[in-house]
Amino acid sequence: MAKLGVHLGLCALLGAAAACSTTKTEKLEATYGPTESVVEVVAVLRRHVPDDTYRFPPATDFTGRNVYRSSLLRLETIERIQADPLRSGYMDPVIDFAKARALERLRAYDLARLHYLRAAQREGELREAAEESAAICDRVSEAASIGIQLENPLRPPPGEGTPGMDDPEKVVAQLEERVALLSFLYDELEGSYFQAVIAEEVERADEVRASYFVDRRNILPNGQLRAVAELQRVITRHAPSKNRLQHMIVLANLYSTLAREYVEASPPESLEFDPAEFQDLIEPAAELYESVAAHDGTPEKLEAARRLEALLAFTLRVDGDRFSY
Amino acid sequence: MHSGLTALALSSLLVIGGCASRPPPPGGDLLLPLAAPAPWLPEPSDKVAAQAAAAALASDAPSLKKAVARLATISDSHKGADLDALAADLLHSTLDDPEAYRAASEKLTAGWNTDPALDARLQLAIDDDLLALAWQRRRDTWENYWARTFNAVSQPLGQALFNGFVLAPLQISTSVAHYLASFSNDEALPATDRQALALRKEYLARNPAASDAAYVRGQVAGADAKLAKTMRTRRLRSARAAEKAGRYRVAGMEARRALFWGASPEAEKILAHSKARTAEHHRLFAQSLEATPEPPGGRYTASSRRLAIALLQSSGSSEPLDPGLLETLERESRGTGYASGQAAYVFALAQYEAGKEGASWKTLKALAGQSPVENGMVRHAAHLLGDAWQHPYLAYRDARARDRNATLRWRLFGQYATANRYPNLPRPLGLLLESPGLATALATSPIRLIFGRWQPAPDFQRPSAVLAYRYLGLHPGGQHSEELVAWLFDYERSRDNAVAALRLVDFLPPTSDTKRAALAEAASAQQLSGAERIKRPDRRIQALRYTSMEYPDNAAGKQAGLRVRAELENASPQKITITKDFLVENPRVAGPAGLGLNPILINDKVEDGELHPMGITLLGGLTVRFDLIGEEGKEKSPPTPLYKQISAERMAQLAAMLDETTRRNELIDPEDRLTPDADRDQFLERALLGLADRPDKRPTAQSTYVYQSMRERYGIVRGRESILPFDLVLRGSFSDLNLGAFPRWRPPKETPDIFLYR
Repeated sequence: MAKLGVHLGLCALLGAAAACSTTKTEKLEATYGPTESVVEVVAVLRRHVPDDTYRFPPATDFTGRNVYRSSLLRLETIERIQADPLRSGYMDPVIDFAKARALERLRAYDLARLHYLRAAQREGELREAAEESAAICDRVSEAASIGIQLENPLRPPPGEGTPGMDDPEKVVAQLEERVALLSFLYDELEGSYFQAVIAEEVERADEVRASYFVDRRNILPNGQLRAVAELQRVITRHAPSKNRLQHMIVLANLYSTLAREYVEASPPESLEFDPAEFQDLIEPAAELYESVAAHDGTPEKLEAARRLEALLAFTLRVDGDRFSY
Repeated sequence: MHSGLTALALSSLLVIGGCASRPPPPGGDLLLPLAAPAPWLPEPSDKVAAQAAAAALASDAPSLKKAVARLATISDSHKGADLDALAADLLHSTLDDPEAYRAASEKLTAGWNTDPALDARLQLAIDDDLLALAWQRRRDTWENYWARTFNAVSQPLGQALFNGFVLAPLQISTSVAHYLASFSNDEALPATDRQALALRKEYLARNPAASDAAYVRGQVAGADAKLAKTMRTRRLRSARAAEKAGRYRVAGMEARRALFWGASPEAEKILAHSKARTAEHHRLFAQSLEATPEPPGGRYTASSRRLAIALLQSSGSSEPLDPGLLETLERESRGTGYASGQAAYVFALAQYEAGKEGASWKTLKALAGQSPVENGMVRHAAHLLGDAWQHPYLAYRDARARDRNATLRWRLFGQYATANRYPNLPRPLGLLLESPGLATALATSPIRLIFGRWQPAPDFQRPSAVLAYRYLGLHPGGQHSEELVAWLFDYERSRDNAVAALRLVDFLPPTSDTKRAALAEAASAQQLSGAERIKRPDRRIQALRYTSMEYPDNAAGKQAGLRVRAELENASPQKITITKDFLVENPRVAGPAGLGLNPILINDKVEDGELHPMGITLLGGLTVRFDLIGEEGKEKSPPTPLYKQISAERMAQLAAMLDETTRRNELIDPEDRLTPDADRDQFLERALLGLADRPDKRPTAQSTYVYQSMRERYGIVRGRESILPFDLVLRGSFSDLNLGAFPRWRPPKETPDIFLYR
């Protein structure tokens, strides 16, 4: 009897093992249908919608891609692979809305608005939220279009460039208008995830402003001083930002560039070289780089450390009797 | 750029030509027609799931819960086995608390019925717990200590076992001593603890009001203090070394960097000392520029005036000094005192300008040997002799002497000659610890000389080579140029730099034609191999063309020319290959929902047409190359290419299926990772959107990615990591004549981002 029990037990175990392995094989080969695929992407995206992307870097998926970009691509892929089932349109509002949520985190506000509006065309739970979000995207897009924009150096805009670029006061006024509009919206959206997006836009406006003065520092009166001041302004205004280390590096780079330009204009062996002036440029650059290089776990750490080495190597070119940092 | 465009134009012609000239495979068309749209109507499970997704996106928690609950009760033909689990995950994704999400996900993965890809994705989220990760990094630190302790005991015991425990006391005591000394290399906060610190800081930044925030803040404060100590110690070490080497400016700078990390009396001391030394240097420098008045009764003579004028006059021309003046200078230079020093210095200059290089340096050497107190010109002579730019030959001779010493030390003491394992211990103590190893290395050096010749020696001669090249640059026809060219020629040959050797051979005494031809052959081969290593196609073609033009009479030069031709013939905007084995392993990519490949091409029957193992290659635009097994019917023979233009829709379908499949594979099997390739991704993303019809012809936009099957990547049996925490090592060493077998504890694997914490 006991033997029979053992045999039955063994048979049961073998059976269970066989069942498990079969399930496993089937599962490995299992592919999702249209509904499952879309629900999966929405779940991944939805988890990261409330993320504060102003303070922290955007999340990445398991492939290391930006999660918003990755979700957008996956939705495009699913639309292609599941073209037949999705043609019935039952998931259209969901897909459009999810794409819009991803697009607005990629600064494609106009496209996001279009997708929200498409989602809002259908009756359902998403209609109100889509209309609301489309309006927000519209306002952000409108605000973000005010004033000058950062230019792609490889593809400058055709024509003579943005009008009014030569007048710094006008440029500042336009960017202040942009920031003011964004700030109103920021206050209106108290408690919304969109505050992070707007904070990023405000930061970008301040970066654009600083960049304008850095680019024109040799043309404008007191341009060098203004450029430094503008970069310092970005650092102080956006201390909680995820980009704060990068802002510090940009300022340090400007000091470093000024030091190099100073040496080119007044070589150390020449009679014009003033060690104190040179030191005024080297010291803040070195301190900023050192400070950034102290932040473990960020790529900026490496960048700052290597730039500091480069700066110190550059100072070796200056004779010991002319400079004693 | 121009060459790249030409290449692309040529390739397009060839592609078109290929389309026209090749017959289809015997079994039928390469691709199956795209399937017509199939009717599909959503069922209740689809509709409720869509409602749930909409509720999640609209953050409507009650509706979401209701829809998820309803979904669980529905059973229809569309409802996949994982939809309930996915819906539950959708519900969890609306949780604000990351810890709650992790707990819910853990619960979801607990059952048997979830898809492995979903399981893997949830597991990644579960593992993404900042404090748990910090704890893992702390555990890594302790495991590293444990591994070191374990190995310090196991290795000598294993070795003692082999020599019958005769040397056991010595080996064990040496190992223990090294174990203890190894702690001198440890920093207050190791890299793994720095990772833990960064993770805890991020936790605090993300969860400032967490219940355990105060506790974590305490941990962070403690680790921050250790980090400051670590960095301060590093900077202080550099400051000390610079101070010891007399580089006070660098010492001061490093001391300042140490002070950035907090107060340090030693750094303050070094800074003050270096400031004082720099100030002293400045004072001496200023003093050296001072014009001291003539001593009472002394005055400049007419000869001094004549000499000064003669020197100034000759400075702007190549006219030599007056022979009479030179005679006077030579006579005066033999005396002592300031005037003779001046005479000797000027006489040395005149000798140098007259081409008597050796005699000039001899005069300066004699002057430099005098007392600098009595003779103000001594320091100038000493500086000229010691400056590697002014007297590169002397610097070269000194460097050669150092090279020879270093090489000899390396031959005698092996690795002990170049590495100091315990730089933080006093040097005598470090030497004492290494003494058994040093003695063994010295005793076994003859064996290494015989059997270890294949071991490449470090390039100790590099500084000498730099100085030799500098000499040749400054004095191409100098007295020592022939000697240096000969030495450089041997040096370049010894390190297989045939291109440089070939450049030098023309400056040597006539070399035989055979020897020169062999050298030219080696140089062209070196140039060709360098060109082949270039990844960018346009630059590669440029380098190959240069090689073929530079060495037209050599085999490698001719080969380079042929390669240029082949590159131009086969050029295409993209070269993304999908191997046959990959298509077999991932049937969805090959199937009707993907590329729609005719299944006969991968059915292992050559008679009806079969893909070559190289598979298919996306050439950019909508062009695809199908590599088929040739008429010989052998996989090892070169493939027969067939070019085909596919529709934008099919290309989009293929891109989508490739992305979806590789993504899933990556989730299920972490080893099946897709190597990052931005150009591949860009091409596929454009293809997905139906924009691939206009190929991107920039050379930098080309991807040469190869989608390979797991079998192709790892072989039939994939190497698995041992489940044991240690490796069994059998070790024999010529350097210390040791043989032993012992278990060696594996230190924990470093995370890929560890380099950001060092």
